[in-house]
Amino acid sequence: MSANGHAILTLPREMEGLGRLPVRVRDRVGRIVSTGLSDTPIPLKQGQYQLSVQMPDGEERFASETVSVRPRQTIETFIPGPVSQAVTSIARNMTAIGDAMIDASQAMVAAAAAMASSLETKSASPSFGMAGSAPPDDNLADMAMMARDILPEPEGLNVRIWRGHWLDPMDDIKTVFTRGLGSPFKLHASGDPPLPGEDGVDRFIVMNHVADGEDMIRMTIVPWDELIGGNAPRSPRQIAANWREGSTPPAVRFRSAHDSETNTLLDFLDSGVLETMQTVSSGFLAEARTMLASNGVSLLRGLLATYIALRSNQIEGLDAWLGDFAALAPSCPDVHALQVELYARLGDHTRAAQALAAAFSDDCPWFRSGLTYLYERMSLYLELSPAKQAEMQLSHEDWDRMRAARKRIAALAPYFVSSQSFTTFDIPR
Amino acid sequence: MAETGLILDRRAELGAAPGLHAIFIGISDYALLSHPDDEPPGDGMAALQKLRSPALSAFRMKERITALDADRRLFKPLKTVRFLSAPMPEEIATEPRLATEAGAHPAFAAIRDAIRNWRRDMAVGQEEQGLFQFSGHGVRVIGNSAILLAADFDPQGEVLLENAFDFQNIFFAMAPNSKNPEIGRTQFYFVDACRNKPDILRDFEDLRPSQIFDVRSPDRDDRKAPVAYAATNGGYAAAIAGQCTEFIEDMLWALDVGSVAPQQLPGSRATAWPISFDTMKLCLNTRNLNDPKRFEFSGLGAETLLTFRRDAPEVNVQLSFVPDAADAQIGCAKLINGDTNAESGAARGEAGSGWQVKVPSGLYRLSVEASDGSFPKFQSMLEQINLGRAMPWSVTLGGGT
Repeated sequence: MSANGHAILTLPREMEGLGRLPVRVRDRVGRIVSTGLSDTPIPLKQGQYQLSVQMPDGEERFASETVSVRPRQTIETFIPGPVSQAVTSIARNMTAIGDAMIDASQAMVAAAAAMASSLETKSASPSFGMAGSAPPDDNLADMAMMARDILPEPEGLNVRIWRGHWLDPMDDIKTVFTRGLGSPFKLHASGDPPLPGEDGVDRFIVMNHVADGEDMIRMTIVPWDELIGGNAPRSPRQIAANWREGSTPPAVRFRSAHDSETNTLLDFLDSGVLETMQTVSSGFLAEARTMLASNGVSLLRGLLATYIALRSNQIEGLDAWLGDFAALAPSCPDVHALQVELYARLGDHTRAAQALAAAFSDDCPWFRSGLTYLYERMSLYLELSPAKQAEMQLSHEDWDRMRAARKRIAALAPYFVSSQSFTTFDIPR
Repeated sequence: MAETGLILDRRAELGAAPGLHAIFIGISDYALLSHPDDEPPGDGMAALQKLRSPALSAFRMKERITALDADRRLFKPLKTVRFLSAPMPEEIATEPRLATEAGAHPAFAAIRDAIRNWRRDMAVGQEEQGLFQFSGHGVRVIGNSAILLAADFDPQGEVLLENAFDFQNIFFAMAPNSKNPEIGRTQFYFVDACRNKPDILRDFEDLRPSQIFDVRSPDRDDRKAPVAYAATNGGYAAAIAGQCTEFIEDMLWALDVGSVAPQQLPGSRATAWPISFDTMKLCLNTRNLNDPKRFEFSGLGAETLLTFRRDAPEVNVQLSFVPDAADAQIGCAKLINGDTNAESGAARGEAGSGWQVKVPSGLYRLSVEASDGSFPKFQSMLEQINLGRAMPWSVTLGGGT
């Protein structure tokens, strides 16, 4: 039996904030023979390989040279430092630790562009040393202020916050969201002070727009992120909400203050590069329980990885992870939605139904998929024969609440925006 | 008695060996709906009219899958094909074979029987594969459902959705359950129908389509079952009369070329260019920037491989050079294959369209030289060129900032 060697693809310092990215390994004729993660040994048979990394905007960037792997040896190769165009692209598309930091890097890109070599492309150029490295402080408010000092402030997007509960009685969906609106304020592309997290209430960012000549409001839920588990003191619940400049209809980009890889995953999600997200999320889930017990885990990152695993139906081992995760995130509304879907996929419908009943007391799921899971499973269970329903061990009150919830979600469904990852509704004004 | 719509049956030939079971349904000629050229649309559900693309679309999909099988480009051999269609004259004019090869008439009872038989074939083993396509009218009653209308749908019927069925009923019924624990775990779905909710449906308290299957709680659902919808929830599917629907037109293209990288095929030593819903989506989104807004890819396991091609898909590479002054002095721009070093020279397109060159997908370096030495020779690093890559490939020459 031949022994494997290993290859490691290392990211330049400027990209460290993106976290571990999916790596593809090709043989000499360009066939993909393996996949892995950056900065992680990838086992390979003896031979010559080209390694590349998948960027969150879908771009694939190659290591500077082919590597020769030999048995029992580990060889390291590098992605060259970014050029001005590439960094601009990163800055535009892939905020690593919040847009504030990215805006700072944009300013540095502008400065660096002046130093660029005579020939420029996306793949070859001088690196910027410390330019893109993570700032020492993870306070988004401070970073936002820093970015504003550097860059001119764009116009911004007028928004309000709606507060309420998604399952409260609604006579008319088109008017209910005109009540409970807070004062108007602006969201900026360059970053704003983070919004604090709140549980027990649904909060949506409300934006005005026009679609096909009709005045509309777009409502996007406000999630939060925090570090859960581990031994460190509990981190603040917060989220940075930035205007996605140039988007039509208007859209919001959320950024975690706690974990850069969370933001990279959010960018993969936006780019629709699901295949590579699976690589990242399965790598995360493989060690997630250990991380939960030791250093803690970003709540949003845990949610994203679990949703991705469900999307690809990779449910092996997910039950244990979700059990640990749920115990540490009882306020997160998506946890019950994930449990409902996972237990149902495992064929354990009694547990799924009980998680479903618990979900009616939750806030609205942050992720579109969570809301869809809840709705589809409750629709299925409500169609079952009375004998099968009795096996679910739910009370009459639970079944009544399930019927009411289905009716409410069905009323919301026509306004559901399926192209957004976070729960979003477009409602005529 | 012949099974409804069964036009290919290799069950005896293949025996216990697993295969792909495909069912294609295309309904244009709705018997009880008006013709769009003859009458204005009515009120309520009578606003729906006959269509002039779905039957042709189902026929073309059936032909494509059959051709992929003949070329041995499927991961399992085609074992059964069921085809039900109701074509309109405009479609027969485009595809005369539809006059004689329309398959079974897709009234509700026939669709129900064909889908039940399709599941029965799928249920014999976990390695069996399934492919489902429906093209025709669709509406949404609640949630994310797609209610699909059979050819005998009656907008004036006493039970409005009597001759209609819910796609979710099929999708959940195809999961492993106590009745069909060994059902094939790999299933592909194409739902080519509108998913909007006509206003008239808001008047009904609890509107239910007819069921194809009893509702059962699935057992452990370890399927790979991606779904491609022609419309997002609440959206409309589109077509030009006498042609394939836009959705199927795009799917046919993607089933042929929608691959981004070669790899060793699962269970084989051969290397090829695999095609999954994920890669199809990637290529389609690059080809048509509106596709993400129109189509929806969901279900379970979009990375599951459906087909493959043996050679690299050809890519029309568009190159953009700035500044204009450098672009005007380019003497030679070429792509050099990273494996073979074969060179493909780019040509300047029509005014304003930049430079273009067609190459097979793969790894390339771009080399650009000035005709007069006004900028130094440029050579890029290796870059992946494939149909999932956004164009143009933009390069700054000569030290521009």
